[in-house]
Amino acid sequence: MLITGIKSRPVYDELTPMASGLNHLAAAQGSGGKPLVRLLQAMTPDQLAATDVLYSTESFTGQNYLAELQQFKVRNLAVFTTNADAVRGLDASLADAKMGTRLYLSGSEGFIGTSMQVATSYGMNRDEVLREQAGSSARRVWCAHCGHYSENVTHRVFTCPGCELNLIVRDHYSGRLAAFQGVKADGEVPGEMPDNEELDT
Amino acid sequence: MSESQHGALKLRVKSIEAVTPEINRYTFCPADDSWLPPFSGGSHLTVLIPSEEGTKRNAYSLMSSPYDTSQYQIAVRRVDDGKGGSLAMHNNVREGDVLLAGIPANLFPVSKHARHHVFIAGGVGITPVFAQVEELSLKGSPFELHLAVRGPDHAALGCELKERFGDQVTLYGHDGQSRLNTMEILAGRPLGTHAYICGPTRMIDDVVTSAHSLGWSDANIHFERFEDLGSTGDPFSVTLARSGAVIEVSPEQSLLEAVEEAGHKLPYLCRGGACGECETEVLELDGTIDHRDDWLSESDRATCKLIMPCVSRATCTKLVINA
Amino acid sequence: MTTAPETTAFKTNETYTPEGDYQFRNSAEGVRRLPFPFPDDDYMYSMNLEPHVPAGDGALRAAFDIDEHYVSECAHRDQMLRDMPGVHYLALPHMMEAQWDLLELIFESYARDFPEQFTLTKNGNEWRWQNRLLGIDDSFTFGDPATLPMDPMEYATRQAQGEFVVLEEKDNTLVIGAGMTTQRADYSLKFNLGMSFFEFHGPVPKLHDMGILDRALKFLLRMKPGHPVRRVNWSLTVNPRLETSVETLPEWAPDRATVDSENAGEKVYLRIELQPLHRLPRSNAIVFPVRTYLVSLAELVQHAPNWAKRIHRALASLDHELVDYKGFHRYHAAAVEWLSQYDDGAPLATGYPWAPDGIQPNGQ
Ligand code: HEM
Ligand code: FES
Repeated sequence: MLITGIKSRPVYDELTPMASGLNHLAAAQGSGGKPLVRLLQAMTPDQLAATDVLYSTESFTGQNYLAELQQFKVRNLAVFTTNADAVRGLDASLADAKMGTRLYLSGSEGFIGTSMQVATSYGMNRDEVLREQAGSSARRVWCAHCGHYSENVTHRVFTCPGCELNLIVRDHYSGRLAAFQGVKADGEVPGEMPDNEELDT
Repeated sequence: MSESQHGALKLRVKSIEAVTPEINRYTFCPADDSWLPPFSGGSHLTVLIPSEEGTKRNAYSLMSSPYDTSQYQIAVRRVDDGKGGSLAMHNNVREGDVLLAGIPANLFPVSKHARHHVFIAGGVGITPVFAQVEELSLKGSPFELHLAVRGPDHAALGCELKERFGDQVTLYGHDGQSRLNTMEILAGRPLGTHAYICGPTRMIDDVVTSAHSLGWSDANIHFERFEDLGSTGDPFSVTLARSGAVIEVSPEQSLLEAVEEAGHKLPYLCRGGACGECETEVLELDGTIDHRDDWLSESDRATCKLIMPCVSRATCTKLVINA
Repeated sequence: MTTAPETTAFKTNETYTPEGDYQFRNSAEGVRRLPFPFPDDDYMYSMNLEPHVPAGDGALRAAFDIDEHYVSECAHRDQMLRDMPGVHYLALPHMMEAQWDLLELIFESYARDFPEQFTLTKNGNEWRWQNRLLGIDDSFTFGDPATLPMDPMEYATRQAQGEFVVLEEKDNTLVIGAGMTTQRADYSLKFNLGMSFFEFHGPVPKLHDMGILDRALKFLLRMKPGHPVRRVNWSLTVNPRLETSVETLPEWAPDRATVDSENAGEKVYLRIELQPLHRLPRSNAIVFPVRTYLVSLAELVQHAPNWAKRIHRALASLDHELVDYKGFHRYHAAAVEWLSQYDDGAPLATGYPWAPDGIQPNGQ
């Protein structure tokens, strides 16, 4: 579990079967396959038979858990090569889903965030969803000045590909944009840059 | 806007109509012919009802259209063994009378994010639904209503809604046989469905149990337990240690208001139990303090050495505060 | 606090931008009517919420205050909305009802509190709105967006001073659903939209640990229509610049490096935020208006010497975390030094100026 001082960042959970659910939908990406394997191991045969899995093999760190996932007797396993496709697959599944469905998400913060946007659009609430962050602690960053989204940002200061400004990544997260905020790092005195540390949480 | 001091409304009783053997519908208009504060579906109105044993404060759901600020409607079921408020409404209040009421407040709003709304109601519980479905139908949001009544004599309000909203409304019990089955109503609903229960405690418990067994989470189940509304508390008296003044606090006022009305001063800021400004030491107490603030810690509450006069009350034979 | 708004001379050619050369100043009356936010010599965050009842004849007389800058501020809003569409005004689709609520609240309040300038005539849902300061006379159907040239919230708040953030109540918290924020103090509406009370307050130091946010939220959730509450907040801004959003930070942040102890009086502005919150009746939403007042340190010295002394002491003793958060560590010392010339150390009254025995702008 990830605990940070960032008040606006989601508090992530640990994936465990939600016994109150009648149907289960689990979507993961890359390293997120690992918590998913753990989740499926913890499920009863009945729960597995009521579970649909969506897995994207796109990964920043190169982790792939497809072979492990294929060992479980779930109702259906759908595999995608990109995260964007997996999110679209999730959208299609939720469109037909009924009350009593539980959603499990794991992977990068960006993947979880964009999947959450879809879940929210179907009126799912926090009690119906568990989220576990896995793999790289890279951040998705929204540039406050040009609106560009940068994926997989690993350092406190970086150059925005959209507007070429030096941005500092603030510890402030927007669930709606599924991104952290980047603002001009040398705003007051151009060229006077703050320390560039590695983002480790 | 029709407002007197302290945000109270003055309402003229425009008409009274018996809709079932036990239920009267009251239509109020502003006493000064201006307009009434708008409200949202699910809101209640706290009416000050004059009765032989003093003023009763009863909360009733508003059932008129939230988009009509020229009038309010409520329905009152006569409860012969209740606290007397509904009896006084039925027996003492006449067309043309002027009553005082609070500004409507909503503890039972419809969800703004629901993809579908399912109302399950019984008896006089139907009143908030009138305004709620009116609001939803104006917004074009999908809803359905399932209403159980005790028999044909009690079905008048349901029939009105059936006439207005057609197939979106299903009545049970009006023919003496059909029965409302909550499992059937709730099963197989799409994600983002919200259920609203408006009825007696037994009905609330039944629907909540069914919804849970179908895997619904609490955030999608809404209900209002009517017993909680309206009353502010019992009267008590308080002694101000410094002046020796003894002040009576009526059910309608806070301790702070009573002290101020008697010409004394206490510090305050928010008047809502949040800022801590009015914190006052309790010097003597025979009884218990009903802490209603968000300021005092659990341990402060337990020791009863402090009270927040802007919101908290006491059930006691003696209370002396350091003021 | 002596000005009656009937006698206010509304200025039309003021500007709040470097392009417009910052043509902005306050009259003596304009300064003395301000909701000065320092009740004590020491400043720290507190649960400073109180019922929003009329007080005095300054900025707290009306539910929504207007002053001599009304016309120029509305022009500035129009300019900002044209310069950066989609950045300063945003509303999520489910907020339409709250938008009408807000229009009604602003128009009714203005018409009631400033009858010489505004008239609202209702015939059922057919409404006529007259705004004599901006030369507007429009008729529309309340509740029908097709009868207005734009969203009801945009229409109403283009004719109002201050910013407006509308929050819906959801899962026991308040979530930002719409905003008209052309005068933001260093945050992004686009980023904050959809955030909950604890989330959008995330960057503020100390607030969580002081237990203020918890209590404030519980208090706000209990708010009822017809019983507004208010609080004041403040910051400092270099130059009379209203629009200081995160988005435009590259434009205004360099100004912070231009202040020294010689020019601080002219350059540094106290930015007072009066925040009267209302529960909205139909939508059950809450509106959080931020009425921003700019006043230079020099104007305070000239027209409100007691307040100048008070702000000197409050700034001198200000907690460093707050100095950093509010963004003036670079010129904090310069501002304090400049103000120190005008503080003789005489004791000052405590309490907000609108409270009995509170600190008055001048006199004993
Ligand atoms: C519900 C309406 C409210 C909204 C929309 C709101 C919004 C905000 C925002 C956007 C910020 C700036 C955060 C940032 O740096 O990104 C802020 C700061 C702050 N808020 Fe609120 N707020 C609300 C109510 C309150 C209440 C009721 C209190 C306290 C009782 C409060 C206390 C503060 C304080 C102390 C700050 C720091 C201000 C400074 O140092 O300049 N807020 N608020
Ligand atoms: S006045 Fe604020 S807690 Fe009582």
